[in-house]
Amino acid sequence: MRIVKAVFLYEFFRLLKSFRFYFLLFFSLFGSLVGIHMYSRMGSFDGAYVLKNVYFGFPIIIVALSIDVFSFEFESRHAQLIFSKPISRLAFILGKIFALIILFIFNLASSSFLIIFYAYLVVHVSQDLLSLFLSFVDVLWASLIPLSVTMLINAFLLSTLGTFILYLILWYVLGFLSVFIIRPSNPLYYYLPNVSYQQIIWGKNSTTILMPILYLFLTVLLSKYRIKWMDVH
Amino acid sequence: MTCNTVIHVENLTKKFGGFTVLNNVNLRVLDGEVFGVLGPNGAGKSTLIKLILGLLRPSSGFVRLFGLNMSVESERIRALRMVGYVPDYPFFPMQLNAFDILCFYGRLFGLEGVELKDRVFEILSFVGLRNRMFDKIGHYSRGMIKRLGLAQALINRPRLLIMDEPTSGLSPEITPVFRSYIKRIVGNGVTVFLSTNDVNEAEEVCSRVIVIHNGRIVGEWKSNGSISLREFYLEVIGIEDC
Repeated sequence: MRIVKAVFLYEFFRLLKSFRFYFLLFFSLFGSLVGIHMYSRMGSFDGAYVLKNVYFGFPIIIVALSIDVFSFEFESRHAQLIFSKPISRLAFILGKIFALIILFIFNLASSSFLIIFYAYLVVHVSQDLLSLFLSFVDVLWASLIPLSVTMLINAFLLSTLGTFILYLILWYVLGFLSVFIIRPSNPLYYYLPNVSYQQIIWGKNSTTILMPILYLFLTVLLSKYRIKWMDVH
Repeated sequence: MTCNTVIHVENLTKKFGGFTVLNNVNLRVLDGEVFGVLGPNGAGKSTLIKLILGLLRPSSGFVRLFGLNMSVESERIRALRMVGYVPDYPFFPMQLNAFDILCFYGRLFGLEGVELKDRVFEILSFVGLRNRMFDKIGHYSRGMIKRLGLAQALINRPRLLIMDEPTSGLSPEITPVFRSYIKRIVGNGVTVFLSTNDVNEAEEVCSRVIVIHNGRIVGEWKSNGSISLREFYLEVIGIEDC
């Protein structure tokens, strides 16, 4: 647990002090503002709906956080120093995952607060805070899927650019093509990452509710073995 | 194996694809010794160090540190608690500062709170970075990054310090300063494993030196012998290869 905490703090501050984190924060807040503007013009303003739409439309916000989660250390040769210390591969992976989740929560919470402030101060519409909170939980829970998929790709490729390209192909090309091949009547349909992401965000199908756990578990397990059996140059 | 053997390498071979980088290397480093590995660029020195640390997996043979098998994860972690490693080109995330990075490494060794901060300040003072510790590493010079590389290796008060070409890439006026740090560490009774391609450095610091060439140990020199290291090196490597 001590090592997990050390890696968590390292990764947290590494991302918090990077330009990318603030760019993503700006991007998600800007996305929220656009969403707010669009829905307030339609007459009825539902913050929960806005929050879900913003993050459903831009899973890239989540992915951009985790795009170099393991490859940063290996590409920069910082891994040499880290793995010359008494650190287990599992603790390294868990520390990184926790840091990413906490930073994503911060990102999501910022969007939620922006929506609440806008609703109360600008359009003077009272918000159902419980439904907004439930949307927050739905988005957070669903986001574990793209987060896990990126981490898994990154653990195997150990290349930031490669992860980005492969993620885009897998999620947006193969993911959507497979929806046409595997029909909803097929049980495999709900295992597709982009389908489960969509289903959890919109709360359409309860069978997908455990998918984030499944993806996260697979990511930890496979990443651990990948990193354990590789040479650190 | 004697009880005061710190590093024990036996029949160690490493291949990358079909290319053999290290071929059947055997060596023992004793407690308190300042042991040098000398060889030209590409001889296999860095690969040997990475195998000793368990960063690379051997193609055959084994490495033991303090009697612990480096191929077994739990034993490797136990052994690494007593080891400090200075890489040839240390790299740190550029957006962090020296204080952040040393706190991270200190936490990996179980240091917390006041004890951690005191240790970080002590190490930063030793390497002369105390007054720049909150500057971003991206603003550091090459020499300062090297000094930070040394600082992170000392955070756990190691019993064994492994240094891979610690003075390479440093300007001539910084090299003696850096060498003085090494001598102060050696004076504290720490076992040192130093890899270098600088004959003067090896002769000045080490009590025993092996010469490695094309992945093989081609000779061993002791400081109490009649021949200087330079002459010995030229003899075993050959003038053309030097």
